[in-house]
Amino acid sequence: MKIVPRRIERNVNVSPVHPLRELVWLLAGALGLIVVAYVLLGVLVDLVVDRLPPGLERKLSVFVTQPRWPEAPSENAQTVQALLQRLLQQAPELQARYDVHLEILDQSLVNAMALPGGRILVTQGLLDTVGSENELAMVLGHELGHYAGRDAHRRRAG
Amino acid sequence: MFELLVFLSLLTIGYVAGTWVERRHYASIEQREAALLHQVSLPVEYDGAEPMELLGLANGSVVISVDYFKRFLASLRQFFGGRVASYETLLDRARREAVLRMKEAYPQAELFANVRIETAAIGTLYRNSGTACLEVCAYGSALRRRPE
Repeated sequence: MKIVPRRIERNVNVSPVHPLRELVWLLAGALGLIVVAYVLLGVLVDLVVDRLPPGLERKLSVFVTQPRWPEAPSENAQTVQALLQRLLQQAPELQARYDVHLEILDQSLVNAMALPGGRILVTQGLLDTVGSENELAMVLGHELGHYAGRDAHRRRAG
Repeated sequence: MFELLVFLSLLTIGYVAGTWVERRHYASIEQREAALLHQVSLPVEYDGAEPMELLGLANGSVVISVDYFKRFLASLRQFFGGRVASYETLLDRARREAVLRMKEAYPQAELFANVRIETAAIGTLYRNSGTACLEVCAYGSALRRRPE
């Protein structure tokens, strides 16, 4: 057996790819996938949220943490509650979908929020600040608007 | 933010150090391969055309690990599929280094017959991180012409 040893001229076992070039391509691919998934999820949520049946919506609300704050011993709770009921009468669809109830928080901060499941929170600070029933009705109407738009579910998924 | 900074610096260190080490290693491999060209390694049995003397079992082995950059590249690659090019140079270097060490174990040998190259993964389950650490082992029968 006659053997002539040769040096390796061209290394076939190593792909001629620059590692940084490969990194850029792979990262771009991963980023592209994330963007596509994000956009797709947003579109799907918008499609689904408006078709949620009330029963399922109530079940989903359980998965949201429901914070508890101390309530104010408010003497005008009844007045606010009555105002909310009057507003709800204008929106029978909302009234059927949610068991809306009001909590007045013992906070000086001026704030109001609508939690998933039908809890509307209004701070004592807000009640002290509003000058008229109309102003308060505006705020409560805004919070009811969150339920009408199913904003909590939209935001949670997006 | 801090974690991202650590990650990016590890990636940079991995790339810079890894590239430097690799370039040096390739230079050394090519120079030694040229110097040891007279020692032939055969994947088959020697046909006995000339009377040969068996010197012993020559064995060369290397343990190598990847740098952070290569590992990150490979993990991205595992997601998309395709050639894991970042490990190719690593294994190529390890195989050639193992053969070189086998030859260096018997400087007086002229021929290595029945050469085999084996690979074993080491510590693949370390903290589930899949730390790629490999042993490549080359072995064969070291032979030389029987002095008349």
